Amino acid sequence: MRRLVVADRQELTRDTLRVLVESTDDLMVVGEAADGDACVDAVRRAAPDAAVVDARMRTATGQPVAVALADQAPRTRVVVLATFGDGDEVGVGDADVVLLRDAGPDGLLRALRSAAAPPAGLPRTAGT
Amino acid sequence: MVLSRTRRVLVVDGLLALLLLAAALVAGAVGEAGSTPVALPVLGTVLAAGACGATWGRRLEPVLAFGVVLALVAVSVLGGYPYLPVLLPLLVALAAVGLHAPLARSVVAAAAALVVTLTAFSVASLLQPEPDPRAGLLMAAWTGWVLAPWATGAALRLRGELARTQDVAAELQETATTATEAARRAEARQADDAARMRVARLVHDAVGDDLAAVAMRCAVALHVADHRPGDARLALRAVRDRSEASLRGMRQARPGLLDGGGAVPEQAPDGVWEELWRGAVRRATPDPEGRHRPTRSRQDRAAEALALLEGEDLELPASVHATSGVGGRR
Repeated sequence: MRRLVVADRQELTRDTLRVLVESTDDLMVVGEAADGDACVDAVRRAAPDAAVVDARMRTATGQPVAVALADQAPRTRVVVLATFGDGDEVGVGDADVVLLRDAGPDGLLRALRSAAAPPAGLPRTAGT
Repeated sequence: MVLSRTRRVLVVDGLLALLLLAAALVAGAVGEAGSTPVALPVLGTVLAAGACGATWGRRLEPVLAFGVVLALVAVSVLGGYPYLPVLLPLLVALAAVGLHAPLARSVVAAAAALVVTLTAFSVASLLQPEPDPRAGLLMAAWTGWVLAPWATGAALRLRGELARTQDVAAELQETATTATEAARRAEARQADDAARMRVARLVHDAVGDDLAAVAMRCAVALHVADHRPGDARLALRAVRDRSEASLRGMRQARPGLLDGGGAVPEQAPDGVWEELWRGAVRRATPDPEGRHRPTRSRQDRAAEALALLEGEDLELPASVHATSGVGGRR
């Protein structure tokens, strides 16, 4: 069972990902966060295989969450959930995987499984 | 225009020269009647007339006119003619030099007038068979007559220059004030544009995030419909709530886009609109330099909005909900 932390500013997106993950047998959500610091906190406590992170999410110090996770939880793969997928979204450049929000359920699950399964390897932008 | 003014000057100064000549003739007659008879009264009169005529050009060529007058005065004094007829044009020429020539040149002219005329008086006195006991007094008085008109002319010139300098300074000050005001307005416009652009970007990103979230939720609801048919109702409700919140956020952002100054939304939005709302509150708070100072009611609304933002009633994004060990099949 691969373990995930889901961090997004929108509750709707967190619910969606939880529903999607709950529909599988091999993935589970071990933590949720609505802001950057809570995300880092949850990842440090739960040590998940992957963290799905809102592309525009920052910590209280302004650091992109993807960068903070790389520093503080290097064994957790970071999947950035982006709306536009360009460099304007702060976490895109620091992610292990960049996933567009409209990738569709199959694309989302494929990307999550690949990211959570070591050694994972995916193109920088999945679901396009 | 320049020619017309020159003609006017020549006419006026010509009339003045004629008046001076008349006065000089009268003064000469008076002086001659009350003093020792002169050898060549005709030449003395010619010298006085020439000095008066030279004042004609006192405004167009003040130094040249003064030089001519001074030369004729010196000759007249050396010739022992009555000094009163030549004194009048010399006073006028000195005043003209003080008034119309640059200060440095007029100082030299006044000094030259003193030196030349006093020297002429001294020489003339030496040539007399008997020394004039009033010579010292006369030279002292002459010094005063030379310096007084020059000083008057120079003072008038300095006063005029000072007034012109003050006018230029005032004009420069006005120009600087206008430029400063224009720069301030441009800066304010730039700040408005920047605020408007920021709001536009936030709205763009927030709408994009909301649309993506709604699309994702619908897609997942369809994906799990066979296993979890009840999720469709939950998904519809979530999509409705998200859409309404998005619409509300867009309405709240509209004043910020329209006027850049930004009205404070009455209600605190949620989710991705929170940043936009915080920005509107910041814009409505008066800045230290007083630009875009909002009205009292707007300040009150900003304060209320901040209080609402920090209060318990506001539903800020929740923090971590689940911890490790909780399975994905809740």
